[in-house]
Amino acid sequence: MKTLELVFTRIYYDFKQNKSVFTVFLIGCLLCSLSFIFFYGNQLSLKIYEGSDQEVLNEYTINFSEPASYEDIVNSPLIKSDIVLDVEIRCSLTMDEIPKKEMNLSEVAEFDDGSTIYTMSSILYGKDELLQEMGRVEFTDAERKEGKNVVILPSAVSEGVTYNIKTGDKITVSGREYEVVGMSTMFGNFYIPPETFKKGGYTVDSMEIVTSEHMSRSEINQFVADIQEAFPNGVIHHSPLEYFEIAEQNLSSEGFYIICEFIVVSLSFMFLMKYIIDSNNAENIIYSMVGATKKRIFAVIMLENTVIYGVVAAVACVLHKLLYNSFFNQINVSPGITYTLVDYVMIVLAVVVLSCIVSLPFVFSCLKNSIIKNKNKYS
Amino acid sequence: MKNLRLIFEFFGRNKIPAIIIVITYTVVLFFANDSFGQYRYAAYTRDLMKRVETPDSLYCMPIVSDGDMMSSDSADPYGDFIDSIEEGAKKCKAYTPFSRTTYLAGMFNGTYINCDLFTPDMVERYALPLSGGNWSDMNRKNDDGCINAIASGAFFMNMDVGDVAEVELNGKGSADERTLKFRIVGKLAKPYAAPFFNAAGTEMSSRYLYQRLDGLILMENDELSDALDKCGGYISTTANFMTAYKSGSSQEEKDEYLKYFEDQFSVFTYDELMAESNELISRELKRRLPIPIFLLTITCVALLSISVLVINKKLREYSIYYLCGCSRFKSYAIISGAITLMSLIGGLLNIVFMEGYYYLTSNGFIKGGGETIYDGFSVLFTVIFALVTAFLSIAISLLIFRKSSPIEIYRKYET
Repeated sequence: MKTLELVFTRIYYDFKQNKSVFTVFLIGCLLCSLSFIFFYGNQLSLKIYEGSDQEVLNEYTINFSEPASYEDIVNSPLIKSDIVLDVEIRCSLTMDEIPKKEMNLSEVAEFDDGSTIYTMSSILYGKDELLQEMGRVEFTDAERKEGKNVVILPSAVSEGVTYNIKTGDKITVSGREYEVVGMSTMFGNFYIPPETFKKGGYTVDSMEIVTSEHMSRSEINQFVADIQEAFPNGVIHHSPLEYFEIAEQNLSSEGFYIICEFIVVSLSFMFLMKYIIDSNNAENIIYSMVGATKKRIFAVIMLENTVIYGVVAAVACVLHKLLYNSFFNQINVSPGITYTLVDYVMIVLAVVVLSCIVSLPFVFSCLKNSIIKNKNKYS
Repeated sequence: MKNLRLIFEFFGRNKIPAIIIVITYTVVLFFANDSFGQYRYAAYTRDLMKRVETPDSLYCMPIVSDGDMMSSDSADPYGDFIDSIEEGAKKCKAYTPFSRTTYLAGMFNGTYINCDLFTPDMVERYALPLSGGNWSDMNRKNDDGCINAIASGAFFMNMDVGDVAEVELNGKGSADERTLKFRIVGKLAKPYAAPFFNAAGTEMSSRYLYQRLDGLILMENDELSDALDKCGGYISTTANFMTAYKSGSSQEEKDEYLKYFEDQFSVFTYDELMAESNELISRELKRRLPIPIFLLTITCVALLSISVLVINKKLREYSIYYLCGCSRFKSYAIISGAITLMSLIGGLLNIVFMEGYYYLTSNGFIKGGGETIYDGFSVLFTVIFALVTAFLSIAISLLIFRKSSPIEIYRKYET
C-alpha cells in the first residue's frame, strides 16, 4: 500500500515538474493503446471471422455414409427451419453417367467406390445463387414446379473440358435427356430443379447447407450438433469451425505482428518516459542512500509505468467503446468486428505487459550508474 | 556553416531518438503512399474506363480450354478462336469490331518488353492520356522506314518524342531481320495504364481491365504487317475482349447481339463493369486507408514528442546562447531547422523512392508493383505532410521554449 502511495505521489510529481513532456507522453500512450485496440480487432483472423459476413462462414457440407433419400432431406425439421437459407443436394455420378462425348472428356478420375467428381445437384429453395458462365443459371418457376428435364452444366474452364453444346441443345446425363439452359462457374456439378431430382430417383450422397444469418462460434457449435442429431448418417465434411481452427493456428504469428507494431509505435514515446525518470533521478539517489536497493527502485519505476499504462489503456478502451459506432466502427477494415469485455480486459493486460517490456532498456539505462556516481552527477 | 553545425548539434545527445523517429517516419510515409497509390490506381482506371468506353460497351470472357489452345497448330490459337467468334458476331446487326489485347514480345536495350497492337479503331477509342506527343501522329508516314509507336513505361523514360527505338522482336528470322525501328510519336502518361482486358482472368473491375504497360503501342496497318511478315514476329492474343453495340441499334438488335455472346460465355455490360469497379473502389477505400491514416497520426505525435523532448533537454543550452547575445529569432531558426530536418529526411527518402519506383519495378529491382500511382500528387502529399508535421512540432516546441525567459531557464537549471 505504501509503495502504491509512493508511486502515485511520484506520478503527480512527474506531472507537476514536466507538465508538457508528461502530457505529450500521456497522449502518446493513449494513441499507442488505441492503435493496439484497432490492430487487435482488424488483424487477428479470429476477431475478423467472428464478425465477418463472408458466405463461406455460413456453409456446411455433409457427406452421407449411406445415401439418404430426397424425402429424408426435404422433410427434416432442421432443413425446414428459418436458420437454413438454402440446401444443395448432390448425387455422385459414375463414369458411365457422364456425357463424356459432348464434354470432349477422354479421361475422368474415378474414386474407389466408382463415383467421380461429377454430381447431379439441385438447389432446394433457389435462394443460393450460382454464377453464370453461359446462358441461364436459375430455373423458371414452371421448370421448378413441373420438374422439367432442364440442366445447368458445370464450368468448362477446366483442363480437358470443351463443350460442343449451346443453350437449347439436348444432353444425356445418367441415362436421361436434358435440355441445356446454361452453364455455371461450379466445377463438376450438373444442376437440375428439385422436382426433377425427385422424379429422377436420385439419392443424396452429400449436401451443402447455407444458413440465413451469420452465427457466433458457440452458435455454430450448436448448429453442428443439431446437424449431427438430424442426420446421424451424415459426416460433417466442412463447417465454418474449420476457419476458426485455422485462425487459432495463425494467432501466434498475427499476435507477434501486432506486438511488433505496438513496440514500434511506442518506442518514440518511451524516450519521454526516460526523460521524466532522468529528471527525477535525484529522488532515486536519495532512496538509495536511505537504504532502498536497486531492485526496489526498479520495481517502483516499473510499477509507475504499469499504473500509467494501465490507466491510459483503460481510458483508451472506454473511449473506444464510447466512440465505437460513431467513429471506430467506420474505420474498421473488416465489417462487423465486435469487442467484448473480455477483449478489452485482454487488451489492457497486453498493453501493460508490452509497455513494461518496451520500457525495460530505458529503465535499465537510468539505473546503470552506482550510487556514488549518481550522487556526484546530481549534487 | 556555423548555423548548420548548430542545427546538427541540436541532436547532440539525442541521436538515437532522432534516428528512430526518422526511420519510423520514413516507413510509415512509404506505407501510406503505397496504400494511397493503390487506391488512386483503382479510381484512375475507373475514370479511364468512363472516358474510353461507352454505355454500349460489352466485356466478353470466352470459355477457352488451355489444353486445346496448347495443342493447336496455329501460331496464335487464341486470336483464331476470337476471330471465329467475331465472324459469327458479324451476322448480328449491332456488331462493332472487337477490341482485343494482341501483342508482340521483343527486346529493347537488353530487356523484354511487350508491343501492344491496336487496330485503327482502338487507336481512336483508346487514345489514352499522353505526357508528350500526339495520338494522331500514329497515322503519319515516315520516309526512313520507321514505324510509329507510343512509348509506355520506365524503359523509355530517357527517350523523347521523335527519337527512334530499335526493338528486336521474337520471331523466326535472324536478329537483324527481327530488329525493327520505331519512331516515338507519343509517350503514355503515368501510371502507364493500357487496355489489358485481364487476359483470360475472371476479374471484371477496371483495375484489371487496364494495366500498366512497359513497352510500345503500335497501330495495325499495312506498313506494320509488311514489317512483321518480313521478320516473322510472333503475335499473341489473350482471350477476353471488348465490343459494343453499334450506335443507333434498336433494342431488339442489341438483345440479339447480347444473346449471341451469352449463349456461349459470360458477358458483362458497361453498367455491370462500372458497378463492379465502384464496389472495388469502396472496398479499397475501406481496406487500404484507415491503417495508414492511423499510423500517420501516431507518427505525427511521435515527431512532436521527440521535438518536445529535445527542446526540454536543450533549454539550458539555448538560454546560454541567448545570454551570450544570440537573438531569440536565431534560436527559433535553429530549433525549427532541426525539427524540419527530421521530417524532411523521411519525406525526401520517400520522394526519391517514388521518383525511381517505375524504373525499379520495370527493371525487376522490386518485385510486383504496377497497380499503384506515384505522381506529382503523391510528391505534393509527402511534402505537405512533412511540412505540416514539422510545423506542428515546431509550434508546440516553441511554445514550451517561450514559456520562460532565458534567465529564468538558466536559474532553474543552475539551482
